[in-house]
Amino acid sequence: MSDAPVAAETPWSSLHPSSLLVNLGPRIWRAIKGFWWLIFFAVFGGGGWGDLIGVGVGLTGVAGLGVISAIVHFATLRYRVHAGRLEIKQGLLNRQVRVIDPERIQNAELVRNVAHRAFGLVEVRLETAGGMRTEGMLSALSEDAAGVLMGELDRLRGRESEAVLKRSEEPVVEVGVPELVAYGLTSRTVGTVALLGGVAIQALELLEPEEAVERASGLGFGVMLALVVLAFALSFGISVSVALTRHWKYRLTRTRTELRAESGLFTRRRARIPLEKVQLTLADEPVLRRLIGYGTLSVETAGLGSMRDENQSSEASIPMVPREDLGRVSQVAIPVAGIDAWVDPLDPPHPRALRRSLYGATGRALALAGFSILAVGPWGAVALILVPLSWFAQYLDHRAQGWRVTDHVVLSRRGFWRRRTSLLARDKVQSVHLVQGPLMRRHGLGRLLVRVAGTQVALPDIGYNEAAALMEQLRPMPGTP
Amino acid sequence: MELTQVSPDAVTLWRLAGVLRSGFTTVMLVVPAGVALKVATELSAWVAVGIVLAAAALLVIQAIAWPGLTWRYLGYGVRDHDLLLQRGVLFRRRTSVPLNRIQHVDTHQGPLERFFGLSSLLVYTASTMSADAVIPGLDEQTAESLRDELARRGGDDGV
Repeated sequence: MSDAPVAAETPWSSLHPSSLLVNLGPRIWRAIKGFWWLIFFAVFGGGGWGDLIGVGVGLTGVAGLGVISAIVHFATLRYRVHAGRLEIKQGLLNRQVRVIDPERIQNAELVRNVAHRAFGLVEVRLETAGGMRTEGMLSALSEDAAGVLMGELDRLRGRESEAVLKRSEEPVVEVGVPELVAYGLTSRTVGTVALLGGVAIQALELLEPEEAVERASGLGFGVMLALVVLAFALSFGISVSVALTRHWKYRLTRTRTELRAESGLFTRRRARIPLEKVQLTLADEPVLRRLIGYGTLSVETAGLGSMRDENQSSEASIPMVPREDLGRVSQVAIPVAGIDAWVDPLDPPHPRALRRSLYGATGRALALAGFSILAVGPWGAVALILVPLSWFAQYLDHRAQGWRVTDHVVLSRRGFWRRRTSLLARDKVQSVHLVQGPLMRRHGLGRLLVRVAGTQVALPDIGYNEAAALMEQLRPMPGTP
Repeated sequence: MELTQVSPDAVTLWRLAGVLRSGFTTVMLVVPAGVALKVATELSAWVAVGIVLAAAALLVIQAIAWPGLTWRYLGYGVRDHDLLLQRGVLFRRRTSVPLNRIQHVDTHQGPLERFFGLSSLLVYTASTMSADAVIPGLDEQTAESLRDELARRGGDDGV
């Protein structure tokens, strides 16, 4: 038998009783949202009240499952900090006990939606490296209980107390309403327009297919144009609303040891990201956003961030940062960086990389033109215009590329239309890959892919020998944390 | 650094696997495609059969010729601080996995590999869900000793 001392039994804590009410809505929604198509066909399928009532009864049953799920969740979930680790157990039929080492927590998030706020509760989300879901999820704790838990986890991680950290807190970025509106307007909209158009056509066809076709063919050019403008306006409206709701009063601060992000109109999120866990920053500058002098900056740890898009990321995704501040904010997240990609000169890709990408682009454009000719006859030759256009696009892309490797970071910039600048902490490198396709081999080029947990950064194409030497330089030596 | 090549028996294994795969592809895809071509274009039956046979022959030739090249360009080496792996015939990839980043190491054997006494080694870091480096065609003893050595030398995950 082991002689190791056994930690005294720590009592289990449960969620706040009001969690039953707070979780009810989300759980019912989660249960019925998979059946949206049923509602759609019941409403637009022309089946009359019988279908609607049938679907209503069915959905009430499914919603009942959501209610049972909320009750079971409250009744079975227990948590405690025991023997230096966070333990969470839950489940009625399938019981699960999860143990989380506080040192492995990548980032912590406190979320308060409208219901949480009404009952004075908070949802605690703790993320560790890997995995597709949040590993530590406590859906409704009182603010005091959440404070005690976070304080205990901080203490176990050897962090300073909240009071001490608060004193060193200083603002980094704040995003106002005009900037959020601009963010929404410069987000992707064409896809939304297409989706709206598709839904509208589908709904019309379901109502009265023949009449819909007749009416659509009778519309004049002006009406069609107005409809397109309306669809775009609606799309922009949705995009702006999402931006405002998600990032309302966005604020990023830093203390001595962590970044803190707070945002959200209805659901307010407070994320805490230990600086030592930051793996990379990714500045996204789509051409429209760049033209108005802004970019979006994501700060990623090994948590879920790299698997979500910029609107969902639980870590610090700063929607709008003035371009002149992107370098400064990146260096706040990775203090050892010592380089500002928007000020300091970057190394260009190899000159032959342009020739190689021109060959590739020409091949692709010619293939497309060939298919067009086969599909629509001689008029398909118009697609040959793509050849010079693709050359121009490749030239712009080549000019936008740059890279630097310093003692502490790897910096890579790619893309003209959607310029992305990655700043990656070298002490987080997991593996390095050097790839070379047949065209690259012909031109003596190589491409380095540097992987950190959950994502990878590709450097622009450089000379193969230089890439091989860099590969040797980039692998971390023993003793590197 | 001189890289070590995997077992020469791997070539035979890959050829056999390739021929079996080609047979399966021929039955499931090439033959139905030939029939569809015949029906859609009114080709003579002999031409359609010829096309199917030519496609099947190409698949088999590829299955027999390619493994030799794969073997030739596949190599690995364990250095002081990292595992170095090189592979790829047309698209070549050289991978460096720092030993102190290795999370876990697996050996994997399918039925055909077991028959030939071969094994694949899969090396995982914290970077992805899938393996960062895969070395196929190792003989069992080499795979096991390599697995144990790499697992022993793994360290901090750097996240």
